Amino acid sequence: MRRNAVLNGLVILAAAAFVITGNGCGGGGGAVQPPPTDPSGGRFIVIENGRVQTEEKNGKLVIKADESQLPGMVFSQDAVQVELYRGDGFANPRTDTPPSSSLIRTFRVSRDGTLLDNLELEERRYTVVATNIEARQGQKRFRSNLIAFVFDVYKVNGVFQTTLPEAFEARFPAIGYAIEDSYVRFRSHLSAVGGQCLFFMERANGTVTMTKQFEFWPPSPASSTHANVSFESLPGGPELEPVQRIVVKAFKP
Amino acid sequence: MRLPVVAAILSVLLAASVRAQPADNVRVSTIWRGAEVEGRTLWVNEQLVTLRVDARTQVEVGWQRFVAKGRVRTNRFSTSSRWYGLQHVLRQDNDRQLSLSLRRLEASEGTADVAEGLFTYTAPRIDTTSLLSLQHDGKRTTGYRLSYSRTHAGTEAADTIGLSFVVFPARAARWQVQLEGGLYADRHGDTHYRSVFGATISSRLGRGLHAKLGVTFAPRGFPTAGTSLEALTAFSLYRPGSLVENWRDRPAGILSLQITTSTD
Repeated sequence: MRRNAVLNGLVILAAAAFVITGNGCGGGGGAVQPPPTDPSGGRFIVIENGRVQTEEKNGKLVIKADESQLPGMVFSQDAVQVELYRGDGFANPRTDTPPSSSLIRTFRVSRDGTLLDNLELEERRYTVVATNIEARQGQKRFRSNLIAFVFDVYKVNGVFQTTLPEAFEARFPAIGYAIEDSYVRFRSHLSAVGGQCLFFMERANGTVTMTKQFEFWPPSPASSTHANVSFESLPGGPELEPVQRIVVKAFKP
Repeated sequence: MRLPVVAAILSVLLAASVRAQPADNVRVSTIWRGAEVEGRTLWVNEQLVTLRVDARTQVEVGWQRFVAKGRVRTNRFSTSSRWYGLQHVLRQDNDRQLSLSLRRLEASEGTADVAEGLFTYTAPRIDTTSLLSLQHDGKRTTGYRLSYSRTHAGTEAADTIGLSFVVFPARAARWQVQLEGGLYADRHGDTHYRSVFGATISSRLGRGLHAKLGVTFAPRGFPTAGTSLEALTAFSLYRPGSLVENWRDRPAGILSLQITTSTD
């Protein structure tokens, strides 16, 4: 009896690890994140990804395929085409899409956001745009027609840095659940502290625009500090419907 | 051209033309409403134009702007709206009158500017149908108003049914009092019952110029629709926070002053 209970527990844990936010079948070989604990009792979809592994090559920053993940981007299929634009493609976050004239290229990512192609970037501002974001956790779903991340590539003391997150965590309400207690947090290289960040979401019942600055984290001096930003929802809010658009911006100071 | 500018120009033009109209055919009103409850304030400014089509029918169009501030003064919710109304007397006897009112209110997007960020909410729409029955009894007039409002707000919808009792006590030469008490059933998921009480004193200031001073009190908050605050309370369907929700969920009251110019 007791042995069966333990086995059942292991099966449930394994299943949970498999279904969480598309991480279970990553086609790009990115490390699978363990399922985050959801203290809310399962009202939310938690997305944990975003990882940057870089090297400098021929005067460009190379964001390495298979080792880097785009923040917040999870899909229901593999080898998704994502677009890379020059500059801030959502200077007005209500813009439908960035101008096609600023499109640099498309590249592939796996269902957990892992890059399948290297990205070679010069020092400037970029926008990555993905469509049909979908995260599933059991019967719960989160959908967004579009997600865009605007980031900077810049040099500090001659060394390339980027505001692309080293870690990204979003707790979105599942479709049909209240919006309260959801959040988006990410951290970037320490040199981004003081830089402006923006979170914009457009949904059936309106829009949310939040601006914050990258802050030191942890707040007290420590050996591995980095730049951190957190966008928290207000209490209340209606039940979430599929989201039209999410735009996240992370700018250098 | 922005809507408030158009509204202001229309109001001025209509006010200027009032004198040229047959008696009481055109009324132009400006209404200010204000409240401060538990540190929260609310300001409303309205313009209302009423045109009498014939002896039984009149149409009205109005504009209003709301600003609700929280205890932290930098936190504010603002919206504006316009509405169209039609009133028709269905039956008119010597001492009885039954009239039908149809009204559509179209709010603009609501904006909550708070410390956490800027939150906008899709414009709600409220359709209200009401029946007013009045009976003249000597010098006093009493009546009942039955109303039904349907509120559409993004993916949300609510129904409000209200039944009010209206009394116009004896009328003096230059002023008149109106008392009203109503019970509203508010259905948005669950059903809540809210009562609203009001008293208004109106006075003739001069030829073609009237003033109306009123107070409205809602012991359990205002219903989603059916009152003069409906363009604000309709946003509570989104549960946008205390800036709006406290006007629906907590005791609230409001003072109003209306100045009306009409052909007299």
